[in-house]
Amino acid sequence: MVAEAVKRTPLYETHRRLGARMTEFAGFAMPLQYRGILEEHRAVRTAAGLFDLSHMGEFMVQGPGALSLLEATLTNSAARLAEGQAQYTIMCADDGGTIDDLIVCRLGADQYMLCVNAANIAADWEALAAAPHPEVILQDISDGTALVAVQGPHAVRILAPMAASVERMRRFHVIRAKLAGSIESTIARTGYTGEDGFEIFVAARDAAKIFELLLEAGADCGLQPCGLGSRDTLRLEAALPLYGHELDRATSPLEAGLGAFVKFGHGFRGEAALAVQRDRGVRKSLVGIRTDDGKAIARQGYPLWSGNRPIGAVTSGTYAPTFARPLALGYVEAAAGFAPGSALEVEIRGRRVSATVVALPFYRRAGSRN
Amino acid sequence: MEAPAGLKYSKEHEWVTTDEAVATIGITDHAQEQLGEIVFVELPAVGDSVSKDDPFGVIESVKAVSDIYAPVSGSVVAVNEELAESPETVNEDPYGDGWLIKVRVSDPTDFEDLMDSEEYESMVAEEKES
Repeated sequence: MVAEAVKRTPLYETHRRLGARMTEFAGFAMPLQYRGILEEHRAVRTAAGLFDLSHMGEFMVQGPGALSLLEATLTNSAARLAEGQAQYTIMCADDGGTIDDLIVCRLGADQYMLCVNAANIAADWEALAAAPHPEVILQDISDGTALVAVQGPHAVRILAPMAASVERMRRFHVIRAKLAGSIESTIARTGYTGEDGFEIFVAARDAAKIFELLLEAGADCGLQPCGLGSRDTLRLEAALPLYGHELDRATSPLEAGLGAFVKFGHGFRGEAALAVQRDRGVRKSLVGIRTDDGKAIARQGYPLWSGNRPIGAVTSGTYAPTFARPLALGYVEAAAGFAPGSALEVEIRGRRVSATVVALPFYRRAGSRN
Repeated sequence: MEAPAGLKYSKEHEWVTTDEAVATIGITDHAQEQLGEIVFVELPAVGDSVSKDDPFGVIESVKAVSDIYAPVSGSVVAVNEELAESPETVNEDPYGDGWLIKVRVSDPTDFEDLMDSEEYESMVAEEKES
């Protein structure tokens, strides 16, 4: 078997020059960290961080049949999107298991862009192409598209001098803008950190320039380049699911606590299976977990116990810098009804450690509703 | 990467002092750098015994959990209690205040197959190339 070559984003040389420690993620060489995960995490919570997310996939879905295809394949209601709006949504298989979680941006009357997980580009494409889609042009523009994100309380202050219209943007809105006078971009006020921020799509050839411009523009505000290490600690504190951890083919969006993004009645794939789960109850539920000693980290795969009964497993666990203690997400038997405050145990390296179920998200930025 | 002369080194990136019956054990500068920011250190208790090449504790960084292996066998006579509150000391001073345990060495021949600083540095250099 020949190993596939590790892909590089258009920012690979930039990362090396900035001294990033690289790691492989979903087949891409990506920055794990620059100056350190904890410092980058703090920068995003208190100032701003700049991320390369060019590994992620982008599909254009265009034509008179575009909305019908999205309604048939995605759990949220794309029909509710006005032009210039974005939404978080799920793609399910027939049995209600999750193929991917993604963002849909409505760019024009019959024009949508999907932003999908890098590891699921092929599966998503297959699912879209397999659905009937008359009068739709489907394009995978991932290779030619770069994505950078500015996240943190100062994000708007950093980006506004380059694109004044971002100041008036509301959350989950999307615009097209020329940055620095000439760089064509699509900007969404979205993110994966629990902070305010923007995700900026540009042509691959413009990625290095825009990254440099943003680094310079943010230097005075404390903006730092951030790697996937802090992206993971940030999203975990905000209890945002990561595909392959909280979501997979064996897990439905209802089990993952994502019912708000499942709109019944528009005939999406997997709807019948999810309706049964809705009516009869789910087999497992995602919960937040805090180990009581505040020391050892409950990591992915560690068993969860209630008395002598195995009740589930941890899906993500890390040291949570904002709280200076470990936190975890995991699934427990739904029937067990683990409300916040319930006691359970995490098995850490053969030893059971007492833990408490805590309400999600762990972190919510001041003044936010979501 | 720094590896002081006078210490002995294991393939698993631990260092150990050699000049006394009680040896101090820690992880190398290279090891702490690879682990990244250390947030938790789990160590044995005084009186426990450790066996050469077996794990005796755990170091957790934000991203990963790693076993720490004993470069020599012996009984634990001291553990670095400061690390419970300040695990980042292992990053900041791996050969000094970031030491992990002290053991009374049961078999001095345990030192024989350990590396000196030059040998360790060339092993690390080779690992980086591969």
